[in-house]
Amino acid sequence: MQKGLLFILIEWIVLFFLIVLILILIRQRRIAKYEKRFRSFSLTKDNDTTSSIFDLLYVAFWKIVHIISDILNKIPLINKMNKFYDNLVNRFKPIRNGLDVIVLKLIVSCGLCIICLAWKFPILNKLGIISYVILFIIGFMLPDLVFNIILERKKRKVEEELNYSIMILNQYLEKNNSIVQSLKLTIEKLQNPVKEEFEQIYKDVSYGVSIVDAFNRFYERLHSKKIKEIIFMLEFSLKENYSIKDAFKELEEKREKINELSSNNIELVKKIRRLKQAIGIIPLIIFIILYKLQGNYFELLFTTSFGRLIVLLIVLSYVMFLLLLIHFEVEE
Amino acid sequence: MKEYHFISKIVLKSTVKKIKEKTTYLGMDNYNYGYAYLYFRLIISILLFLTLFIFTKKGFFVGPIAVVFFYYFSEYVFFDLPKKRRKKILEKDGEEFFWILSLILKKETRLITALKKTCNDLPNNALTKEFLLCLEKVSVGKPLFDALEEMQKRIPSEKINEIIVLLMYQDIKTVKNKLVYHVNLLRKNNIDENKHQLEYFPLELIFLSLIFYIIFFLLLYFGPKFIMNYMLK
Repeated sequence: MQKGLLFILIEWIVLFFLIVLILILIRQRRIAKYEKRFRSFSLTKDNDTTSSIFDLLYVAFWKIVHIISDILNKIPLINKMNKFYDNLVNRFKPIRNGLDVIVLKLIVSCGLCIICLAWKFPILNKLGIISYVILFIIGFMLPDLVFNIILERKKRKVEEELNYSIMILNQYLEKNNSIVQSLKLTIEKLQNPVKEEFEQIYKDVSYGVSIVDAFNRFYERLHSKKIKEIIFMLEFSLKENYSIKDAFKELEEKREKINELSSNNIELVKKIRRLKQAIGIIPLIIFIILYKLQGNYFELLFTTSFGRLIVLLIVLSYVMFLLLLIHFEVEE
Repeated sequence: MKEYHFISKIVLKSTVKKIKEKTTYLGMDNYNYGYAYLYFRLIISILLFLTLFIFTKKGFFVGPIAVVFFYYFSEYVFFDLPKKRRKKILEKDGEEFFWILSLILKKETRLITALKKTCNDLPNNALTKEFLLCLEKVSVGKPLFDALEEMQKRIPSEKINEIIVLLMYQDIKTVKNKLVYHVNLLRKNNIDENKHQLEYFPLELIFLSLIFYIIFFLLLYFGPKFIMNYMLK
């Protein structure tokens, strides 16, 4: 690997940041020392109002993103991009509008390009400018992938614990509490991320939104079928003069019976998901091993024009395969 | 008015009867789909036989086999596969439909009003279309017993037909008690079927991945060799 000018510059920048970080750490250590000394005399022991270093970095990064997006927001044509990525706005706190997401994507893709320019990977040098275009596109798509994975995980966790939360809600409803009261009481017994969602529902209801609409908002945040069932039961109870208490009781009975019968299916689905991940990653691992063992054999693929066409074909077929894997979703 | 179709003079009467039965299983009151299929099958089989007979060397041998194969395979594609699909959809939606019906029957005393209410609650269900047609006939003057009996012929699933028989013959009290049992039976059946599908799913995944892996590594192995031998010379 050759060391270019850019590489040395990035090295210096990283060193500078490391020194700054160490200085902040020394300052934080001093604060911690004083806190420890006055801890036994203070009334609010667990109320830690100071922010940690990673907190500061996180806030600073988003501040930069917000400043750039505010500048871009004043340009009339780019202003219309605010409407994109509407589904992410309610779910992640620092994201205010669609332009924030686009700025984040641009930062990630530019960073990826600069890092690869500095390191000078042998494969990238052979491909030329096309490789940087591909890297830019990959960087632009990367945040989408990360957001989707986070949301999918959250959705799965919520679905797993939704039965439990309905059970608790039902218990409080049976003791003749109103639904708002029982929502407030169930929140104390839940854990994240279900707790967050229920807190949001309680907030909506306390501001004056109807219960059905609050659950509808919950459905819009994570598109899950199990939430749709709850909404249906609530609407059903309103239509047919059925009390909410009875409706939730019936729903709980139904979910219990389904859980009894489909306990094997849930395990099977988990195994299939793992198998999917393994099948998706194996070709990449095998290619890396082959390239490390006999890199000279594959050099023709990157240097000649026909070889590049073959590389493009391989990448396209791999992407097709991954999309097919994602498309074949299984249900419990 | 009786429908006249020229095809019924050509094909066996038993086949026309069979196809009519199969069209009713697909939930259609018109038999036009069945008659169109009969025309299509006859014309295509004649054309297939003629092309194979004239343009291939062993056409006298290949032609009849291909025609017989097409004759039965097309019936499978146009009638049996959609029937299976419809059966699956009806059983999946029937679970929800009859569950809601059992909930409404706890407070409702008349069966017809309960059915109307469930149809209103579940507008996207596959069974509501059938029950609405049935209720329309009842509103004109047909007794519910006959309307349900007619509806039974349109539904290919045996488990749902059992429930319809229950609605036909029993009182409201017995319907209330037995409907829950039948709903649980449907639920268990659906979950078992899903499990059966899930068990075969990894095999399908592995076949798909094998096809892709072969393409991937053939390109990787023969690509450089092909360039070395043909492009660089």
